[in-house]
Amino acid sequence: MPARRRGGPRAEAKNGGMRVSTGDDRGGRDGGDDADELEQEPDYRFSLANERTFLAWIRTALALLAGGVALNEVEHLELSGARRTIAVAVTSLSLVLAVAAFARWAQVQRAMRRGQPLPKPAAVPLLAGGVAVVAAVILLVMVVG
Amino acid sequence: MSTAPDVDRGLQPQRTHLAWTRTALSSALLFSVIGRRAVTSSAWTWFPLALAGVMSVAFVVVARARTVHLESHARPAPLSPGTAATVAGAVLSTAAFALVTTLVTR
Repeated sequence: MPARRRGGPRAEAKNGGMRVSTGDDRGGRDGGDDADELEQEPDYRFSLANERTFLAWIRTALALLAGGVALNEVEHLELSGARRTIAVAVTSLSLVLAVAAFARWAQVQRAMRRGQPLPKPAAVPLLAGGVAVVAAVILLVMVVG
Repeated sequence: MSTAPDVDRGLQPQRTHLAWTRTALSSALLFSVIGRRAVTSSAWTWFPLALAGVMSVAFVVVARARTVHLESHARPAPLSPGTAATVAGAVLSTAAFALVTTLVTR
């Protein structure tokens, strides 16, 4: 995968109805009303990388969802409704991640079209924190119970 | 469609195809997990099971269509927003049903 270039030759892809401009790339980065007019399709390799990242987030959401469903079968977490609480938390996290995956994909695609810096991934701390909290609660319940 | 001779496609389409395959397999795994739960639980669980089944089939169809597109175009078009929204929406709705089922069933 080549290094990301700003303002390089990018409008190469068959765009499937998306607008391709021949305008100056700097204008696209300046934002404002001109941003929509100056959007260019990025190199298709970057688009495919964004697509794979989106699918990785979707798989993470699917794994969490499967974990949430499977938690209902675990018999070691019977401490006063802890099993259901943890299952609800994990399933809710998967729900949020599915939304975040699409939002992230759309943000990155838009940023690449406009030649802007990629936005920070907001779902990463959410996922890390969520998994850490759930793991800590499960550990606590297993020790106490 | 034919591949343009001056384009180095590299492994990008293959990697993307494998990512779609892994996602479809994950969806099938979720279907089996919910299926196991449905066998031992109440009728409520059959709703997310049916949804997960539809989602698994849809993922396979979308993955196949995307793979054909990637293999037949020298410069493939990016994933359409509609497809991305459908994939995320399928996971979202299945998670929502599973959440409701978890809250309702004992």
